[in-house]
Amino acid sequence: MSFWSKKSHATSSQQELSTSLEHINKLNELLNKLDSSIIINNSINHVPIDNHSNIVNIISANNSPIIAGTINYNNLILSTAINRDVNSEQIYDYVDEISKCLLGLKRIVLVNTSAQELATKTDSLSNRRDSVGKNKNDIITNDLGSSNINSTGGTSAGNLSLSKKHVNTNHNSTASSSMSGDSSMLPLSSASLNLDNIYDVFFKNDLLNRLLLKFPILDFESKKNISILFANGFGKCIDNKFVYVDYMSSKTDTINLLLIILENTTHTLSNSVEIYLVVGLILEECLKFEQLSRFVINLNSRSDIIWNLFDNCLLPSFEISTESFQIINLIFLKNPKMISNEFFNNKNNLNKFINSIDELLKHGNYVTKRQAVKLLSTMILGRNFNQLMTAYISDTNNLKVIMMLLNDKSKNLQLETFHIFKVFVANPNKNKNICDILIRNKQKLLKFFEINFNNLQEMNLKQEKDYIVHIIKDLPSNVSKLYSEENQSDASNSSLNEHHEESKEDIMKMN
Amino acid sequence: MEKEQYQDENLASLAKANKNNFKVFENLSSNPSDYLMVDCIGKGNFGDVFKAIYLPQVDRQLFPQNILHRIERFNYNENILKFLNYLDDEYFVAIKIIDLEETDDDIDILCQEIQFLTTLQSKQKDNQNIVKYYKTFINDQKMWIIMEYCGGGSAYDLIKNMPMQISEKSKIEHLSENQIASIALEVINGLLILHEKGSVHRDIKLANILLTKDGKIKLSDFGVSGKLNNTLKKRETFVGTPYWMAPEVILNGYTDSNTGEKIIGYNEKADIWSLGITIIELVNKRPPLIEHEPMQIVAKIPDLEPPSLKNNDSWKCSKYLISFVDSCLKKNPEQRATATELLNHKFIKKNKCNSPNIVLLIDHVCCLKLKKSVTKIDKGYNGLLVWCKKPRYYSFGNRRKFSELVDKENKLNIDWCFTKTLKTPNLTKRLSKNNTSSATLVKNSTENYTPMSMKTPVGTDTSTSELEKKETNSRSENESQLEDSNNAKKLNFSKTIHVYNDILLPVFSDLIKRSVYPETQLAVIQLLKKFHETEKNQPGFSNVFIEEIAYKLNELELHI
Repeated sequence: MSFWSKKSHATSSQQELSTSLEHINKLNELLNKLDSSIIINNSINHVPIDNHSNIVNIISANNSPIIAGTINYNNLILSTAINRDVNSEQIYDYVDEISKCLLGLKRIVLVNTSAQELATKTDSLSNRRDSVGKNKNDIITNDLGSSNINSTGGTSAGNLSLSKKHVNTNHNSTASSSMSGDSSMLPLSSASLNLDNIYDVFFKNDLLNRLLLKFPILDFESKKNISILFANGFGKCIDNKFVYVDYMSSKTDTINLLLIILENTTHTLSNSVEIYLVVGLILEECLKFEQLSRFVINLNSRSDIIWNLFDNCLLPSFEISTESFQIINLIFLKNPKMISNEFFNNKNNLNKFINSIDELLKHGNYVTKRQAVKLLSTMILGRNFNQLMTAYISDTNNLKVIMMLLNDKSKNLQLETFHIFKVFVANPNKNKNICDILIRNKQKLLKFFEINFNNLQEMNLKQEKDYIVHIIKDLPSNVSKLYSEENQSDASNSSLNEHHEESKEDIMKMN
Repeated sequence: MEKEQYQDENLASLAKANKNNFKVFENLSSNPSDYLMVDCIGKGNFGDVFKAIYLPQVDRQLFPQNILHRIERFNYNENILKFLNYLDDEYFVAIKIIDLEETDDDIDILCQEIQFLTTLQSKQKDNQNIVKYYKTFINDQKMWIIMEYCGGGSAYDLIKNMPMQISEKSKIEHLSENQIASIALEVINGLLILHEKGSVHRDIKLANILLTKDGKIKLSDFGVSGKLNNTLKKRETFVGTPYWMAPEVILNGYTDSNTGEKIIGYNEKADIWSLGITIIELVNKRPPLIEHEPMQIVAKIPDLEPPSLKNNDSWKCSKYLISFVDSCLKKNPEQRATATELLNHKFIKKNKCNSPNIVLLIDHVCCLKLKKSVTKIDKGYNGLLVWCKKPRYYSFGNRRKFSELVDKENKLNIDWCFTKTLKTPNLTKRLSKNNTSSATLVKNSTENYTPMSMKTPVGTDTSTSELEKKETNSRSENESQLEDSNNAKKLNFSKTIHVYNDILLPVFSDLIKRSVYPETQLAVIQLLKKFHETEKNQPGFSNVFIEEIAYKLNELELHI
């Protein structure tokens, strides 16, 4: 019985491979057709003839919204603009068919993803699978290499015929490998290889980029399907290499495109929330990898992407604000060393980050505040962000924000804020202004700690609280007394940085 | 006092007229006062669910004003209940209110959950078998999730009311196989949508299968549904309700049938098991093993033989139904049928053509519910029915007062002093005020309001003006003021707490929640009724009562 069920599985997965490759080729074809029909459409009408005729000309010349290396959202919209009067039905038909292809592709991928897990988890079979897999991958990458060259420079007709050939060879390779393979392990191996093949073709044909270029006119379901397709395959590791990630980082215009769409959807009216989420999801997948994250950070110096995300956190739409924050979280916490060395070493960035996060702490809603305070405390207490901590705890504005937040009626917020506040207090070299505020509020603070944090469960926290209260008690009771002390510490200002380090270690010990 | 005398037909036509005004719920506002809570329809671990009217879409000319006013004050009568019942499902929204302060670290997960709900929506297909989601917003510390309202209740309500005496002749003992098949079909369709988006519901059971009044079936409560992401394909968390849980969810994995290796986690097949259990629930009105303690049975489910309908004692099932359930309840998820396979099962195919009459049953259940509420109102509950269900964190009562309450809470904060010019305020005084805010707040009014006034009986109408004079600091209002809009205008209190509505009622609702036995509950309710009456006849009673308690507590420095 088991024999028969497996046999059928094997053949079906073979079929799936060929159908999915057909889907991809059809997508390719459709995108080409779409390109050409849009060009025709636009050249007939010269849509916005006055202002943008130049741009239209450029677009119709090379059919791309990328001008001088940068993508402009206006151009993207223009390049996909459909004039409803002329000939648009055909374009809509193409869009429909693209949608169908994507749906079919996604179904196959989802089914096979679970099948592949079974395969990868079965260790006994994995060795043999690898040997078969390698051969096959070789064949396919060779195959693809040639098709890729052609598709970038060639005409659509040439591409088409080549794609067909391409399917055939793929088909053959699967068939041959299944012949050579052991029959008992067939379903597993072909299932997993199936997926790799699909993604290989998907990425190397630059389909993601091309689909994104048509993003404004695709229907909502296709947009969702693109993101699901992407999220399922992107992180895949073949022979210990993130093949697709490497690929993406070599073709940065795709990620550029993502950011452009993300930034501009907040201004568009229809479906903006859904599009933002879909694009955000793809971006999140990308940001998990250092090389792509680095690209985004570098881009920020030109286009303020990251600061715009902070602004988006304060938008009224719940989905957009939380998605923006998720992306921010990924950028700053996923690769802390890189952020510290390559982003915060720029004083401008550091100050801007502090300003932005203070803004969230001041004006965000409850959720934004809680997420922001959590991010800030993780960063300040983390080992990688020394310069952030020193900068943050030496500015009175930040102390004010933190003290206001300490006073929030939410116990959760209070507690999380305490973790930042304690760094201000425990710092052995508080500057004069910080000391001023603390002294001015000494009694209030003592009273505050009397009222709050009384039911702490954790011993650590209790000790921390006692320690902080102890330091506050030791503060002089009026400001004038401080000045003499402050003068002394000013003298030792040169070693300020070292002291900050010490204070940090203090905190670490406390933790 | 109201002279509204609606005939049944009038109410029905009124409701019909309102139906025509229905627009799609798009671009909903994020202002809580735009939603008029009508009823509390559910309580969950994550939060309570309310039935509500979206006020900006109410056509004030068609919607009877006096009904609206009475709903606002929870002053229900039979007509209102009937009118609400006549209104279409589409007239309402369901609102889930989650107190974020109570969810510790889960806030990120919750956000992702909401984002998932957004992407789950499909603009084209209006009739998908998944509860529609409209909007989320944050109000203060609470998250409001606005969703589609399903007036037919849950499938559990349907089964609970079996056997049903629909007419004199026909008595329905259990659902027909036809009806079971159609419910199963729509549930599978809903699951397919979820699974296609790479998600597992993880808590399929009758209580989570909702029905609209016209018999559509919708999956709800994705509160625990987990999205599979690409790093962790299978979920490794322990969620769901024990009786419906698949063995691999409990064991967090299963053994491969061929290789004997243990595979960690579970996938969408877990929902298929739960579906099988749910079908048994539909047949027998309860899931198998329900007689055992949930936490004890959890450990046993993986060892026991999977339940089957083969030798069902309540009624004899067809072989198709039996095999359908058996193919869902395979212990090894690999052998379990997939959702698509189940769609092609003979049990579904065979029953596909016949139209099952579920609407009839839903109507019946709705009628039963209405009757129940009406008798409760007749017994003099008069809105208390709803009050008793009042959750602790939503202030009903006078809706204007809600925001004021929040302001008040903010006022209690310490004012830090950041500028050098600012003098240090008398801190101890300020703080002691914070500490014992309730006591000091009402203290002033007590000075004016001697216990003597309790002894002098006051009529409901005159009491308003008397109270006004007496309470110069006016910490409270009474109900009669609320009822009279003119009076309410005169009393322009900036910061007020309605002692009866905002303190006593929530306290009592919590007391009711805490009482273990029904007798205790009844006693508490009776006490509340007494309070209600006393407050009505002797307005201001609750103020003095609470003041005295606050005084005493303060005096003894009790911090409970």
